[in-house]
Amino acid sequence: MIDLSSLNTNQRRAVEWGDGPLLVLAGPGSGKTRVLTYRIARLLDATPNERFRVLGITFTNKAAAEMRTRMESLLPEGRDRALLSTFHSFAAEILRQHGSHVGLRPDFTILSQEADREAALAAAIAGACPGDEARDYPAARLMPVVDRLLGDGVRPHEANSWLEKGRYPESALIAGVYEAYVSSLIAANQLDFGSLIVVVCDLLQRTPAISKQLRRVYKYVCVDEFQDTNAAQYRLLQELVPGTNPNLFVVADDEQVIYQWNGADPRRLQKIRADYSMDTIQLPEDYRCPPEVVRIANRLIKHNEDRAPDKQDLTANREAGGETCVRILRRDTVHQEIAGIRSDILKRAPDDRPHCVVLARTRKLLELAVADFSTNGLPACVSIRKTEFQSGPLRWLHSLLRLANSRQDREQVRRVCKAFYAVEGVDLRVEDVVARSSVCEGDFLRSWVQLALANVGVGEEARRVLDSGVIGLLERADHWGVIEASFKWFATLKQKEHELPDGALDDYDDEAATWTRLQQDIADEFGRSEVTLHSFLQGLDLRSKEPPAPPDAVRCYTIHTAKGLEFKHVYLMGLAEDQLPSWAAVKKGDASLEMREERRSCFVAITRAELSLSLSYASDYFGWAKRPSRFLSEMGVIKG
Amino acid sequence: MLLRRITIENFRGITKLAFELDRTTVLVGENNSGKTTVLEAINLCLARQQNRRVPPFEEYDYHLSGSASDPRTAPPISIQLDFEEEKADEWPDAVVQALDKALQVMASGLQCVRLRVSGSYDATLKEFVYSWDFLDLAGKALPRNPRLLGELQHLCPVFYLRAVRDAAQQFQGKAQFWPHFTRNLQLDDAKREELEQQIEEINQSVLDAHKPFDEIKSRIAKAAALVPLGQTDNVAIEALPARVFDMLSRTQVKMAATTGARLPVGQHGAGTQSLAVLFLFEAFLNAKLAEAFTAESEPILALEEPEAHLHPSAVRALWGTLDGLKGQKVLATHSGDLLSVVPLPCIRRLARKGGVVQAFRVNPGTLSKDDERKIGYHIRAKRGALFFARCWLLVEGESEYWFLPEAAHLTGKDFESNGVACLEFSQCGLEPFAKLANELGIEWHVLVDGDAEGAKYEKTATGLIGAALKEDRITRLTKDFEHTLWDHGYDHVYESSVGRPQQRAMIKSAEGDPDYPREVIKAALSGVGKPALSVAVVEAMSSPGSPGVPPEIAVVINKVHELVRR
Repeated sequence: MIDLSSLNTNQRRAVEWGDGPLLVLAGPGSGKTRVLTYRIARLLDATPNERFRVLGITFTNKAAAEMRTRMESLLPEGRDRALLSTFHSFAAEILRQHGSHVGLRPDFTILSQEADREAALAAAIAGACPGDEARDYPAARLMPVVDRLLGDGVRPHEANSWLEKGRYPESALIAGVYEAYVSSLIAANQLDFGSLIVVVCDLLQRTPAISKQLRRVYKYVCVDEFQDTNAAQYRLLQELVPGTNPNLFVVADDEQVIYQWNGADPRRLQKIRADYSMDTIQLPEDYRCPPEVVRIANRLIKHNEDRAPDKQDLTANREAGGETCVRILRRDTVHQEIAGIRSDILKRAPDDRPHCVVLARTRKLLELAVADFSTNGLPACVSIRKTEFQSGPLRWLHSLLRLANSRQDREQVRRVCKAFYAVEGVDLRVEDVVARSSVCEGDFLRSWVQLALANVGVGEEARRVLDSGVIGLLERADHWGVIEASFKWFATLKQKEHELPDGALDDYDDEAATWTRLQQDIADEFGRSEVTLHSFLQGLDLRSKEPPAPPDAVRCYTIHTAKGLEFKHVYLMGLAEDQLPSWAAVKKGDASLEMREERRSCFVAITRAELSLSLSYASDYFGWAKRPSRFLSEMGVIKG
Repeated sequence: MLLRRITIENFRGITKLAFELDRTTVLVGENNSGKTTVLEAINLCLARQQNRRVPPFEEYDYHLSGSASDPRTAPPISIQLDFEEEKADEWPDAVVQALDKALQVMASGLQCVRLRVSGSYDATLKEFVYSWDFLDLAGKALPRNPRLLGELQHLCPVFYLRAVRDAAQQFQGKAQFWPHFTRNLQLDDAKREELEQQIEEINQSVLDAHKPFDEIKSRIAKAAALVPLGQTDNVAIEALPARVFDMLSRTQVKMAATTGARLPVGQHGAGTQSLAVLFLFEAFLNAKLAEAFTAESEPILALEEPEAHLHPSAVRALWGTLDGLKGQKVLATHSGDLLSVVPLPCIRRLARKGGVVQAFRVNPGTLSKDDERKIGYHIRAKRGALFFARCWLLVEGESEYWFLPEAAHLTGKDFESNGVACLEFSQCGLEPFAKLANELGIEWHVLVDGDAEGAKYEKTATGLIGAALKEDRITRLTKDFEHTLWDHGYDHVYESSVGRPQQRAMIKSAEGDPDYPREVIKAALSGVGKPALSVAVVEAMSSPGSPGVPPEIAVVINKVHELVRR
């Protein structure tokens, strides 16, 4: 039996929920991930003789990995019966198994770089537009509408009516481009993040037997952070969960919808409640924030008029700390504002600094802050999603593995050659590799290795990696062996860094640590011996390559990236009109959807704080006088 | 779960073979046609002790062609098993959940699982490499998951009963099935101790009564001086096993012989032994399935020559037992008697064509109800052995039926050893035979008379030759069969067979008249009958200085021998 004694009454009611649909409205710091984990563990624990699995969908791979760890300590024997995944990872899994229906092979790849997507779109435009017309439609211009179609889960054949309904001009042409884009991706055995979901929705609607099979395997579906779900993801969810007798357990916070720009919509929560006739349990108990923060958060969010009428206020469950919990920092200019935050943080003990976070609405303010901090002796880092490795060694290894997975991919040959030049100083030409491949059954990898080995400029260590059989290892699909051998080689590069082109090893150490971490994460998801080369590459593509923050650095996050995280000391900067709320929201007015979203962003930001919250603003941003944010007065911390 | 299809490439004697299986499938074919290879292939992929670390193939499993061939250069082995639902939602949740990541959905909406086991030599690694893969519909390997293979083997365990069934071997401690019943003592400790006490007492009284052992004991005890042994009582002689488990492991099955004496099963005739092992197998199956597998498990039983050593009517009765075994059955048999009771759609005939093993079956819809009834009567019930022939020589009547094998013999050819079977079709009609032969990949050739009836048969046969050449399928004599013999110099046989007055009265014409031969032949046939006349002609043909086999007949004999060699 799972011990539920550490849960409060509401949490316990949610955890003990049996069959049927349930919405858990969970405020910040209310232990929602805990509730979700316990609920899954309890379901599995109560049915030891059953074989069904529980699908837990989270919003990030990181959250999934964390839940996996928690699950394992709670119920080790439940490991194989809980699949903790994201919409994208799960979609990829479905396509690896059933992609043959739409023309995908199990080893399809994922396009994560915007440049690659644009190139694919440009090709689709050229194919879909007659004659010279393609010139009038640069890919960059059509990408936003393609992204909207993908985000809304529009199946290719539905594009025209969707565009017409949205009164888009040239709907027929754009629909043609959209269809051509998706089918060209499939033809190249690749997908981007958006099409991953759309193609799965299309597959499941065309082949209901697959949906049925998934429903029989995954009898229970749980979704975390449902408020961030876009239309495409909701469509996929509806395919996975039947309309009758749905065992759907959704955790959400309607106050934390801040991804409207990405297709999230506060109304989707109302829709799922109606679509599945859901019961609701609220978790208003906040265990994270000091009482004073809870108080101002409640005051702030009440200004959003579209709030559900039955929504309960947060209740404070954490002791008030010793220091003043909420402080206002006011300066004249943004530079002074940043300097003020800096000196405040510097007053703290050095080992307290990594527990400080600077939050801002925009990346622009954060970059200013990081620049200021770094030049003034306060290490700081800003978190950015990174789609590709940057350092030479890892670019080489990554592209080599991609080439191994797709032996006739010219683009990967180009990357392998380029990265090899950066780390080994040997310039192998793509044309030569391609030409030589005619004697290697068209296998570019084999041909590249042979060319490299034939080149006298290749050093002993590199030669060892290639010779000791990159080819042989890859033929047996033993990518772990190649990776291991490569890292041994990379270690020797450090000693001769001076011989390498400038910057070839920049970021190498961080990225090597990231690679190792992601590799472990992927191995945990599938089981190490079962990670095939293509599932490994798909796993890498689905994950951000962002390095872990240096241990002594102050974190600087946008409000969006800080979602779901908590910090002892929160500095929220730029609390001025046109910053937070944004200029666009101010322009649309106080009752606009945009303003409500800004308010929720502010709500999310302040509820990250465990001990202290510092709210800062300046009266001048970039030469423009700005009034203090309306949210300050709504929170009741300054007079309006 | 139904194993619907098996596809074998480059495994032992098979280069490429694919065929569908039914709930019960009976494999027939000559020796070396691949029946055992098919059973072994199924066993190899699904036998439970297999796992990825143990190589499934040995070097001689590779398809070696030519004496200089080497398994390292042999083409890769691939064995693919396709399991399919027969109707929607046939597989219960437990099966779907267990096999989740291996499942595919076919265009029909039915689910399937495809497993491929392959092996080849990797020249770079200098070793043989193997893989177990589940495949998608396009034949691409799905991401690996070792759990799935175990699940499939659990849901579809294979039980393989090989042809050689020596009961003395099977009913002993180390055999395949018997130990299942002798291990796992089901006695409580108190009862066991009581029994062991009693055994000890009996033991003692036997030994007390039988003095010669004392001498032995003291002599053997001297060994203690040379090698370390226990200090006291170091030699014991047991007349009976002292422990109950030991006793169980030595249990014997005895069956009463016709004399009433109870003999160990190994002392009975081969047929009885074979049956006893078969029933042991059934008992083992039932016990094993009940304890080691889930309710959803459905075994595949691979049975080789279940008929071995049994007399014909026992073989026919055996079918009832086999049919009643739980699970999907794949049988290999050489028994025409068994085939005579097996439903026609279950039969797969394996045959080598141009060196390549192929599987033939009667495809649904090719035979009409009437055809099936006729075949049921004329072939299955009477002559199951016909399924084992390579070529059917279809003849109009008894005369040819008796004559042709002997004529072949005289020309130095032998129908039996070459797999040629002679069948009369006049009662049943040509069509059912030719259709069945076409379906089963059996060569056929029809010999018809040069009369009006023969013309009709020729027409029917022409409609059934498919892609074959007409000369390979049909021979029409210039005259009828008897006239052909008459013309070739056997007129005197007919003339001398007309003995009795009423037959002689049937001959109205004089020698030399055009109607004379017809009248003589008719009279002879009505007197002694077709078989006797045929035998008489054969005798005349084998006597010195005879005119030999008529050329038209010799052509037919050569033709069927040519056909079986293709």
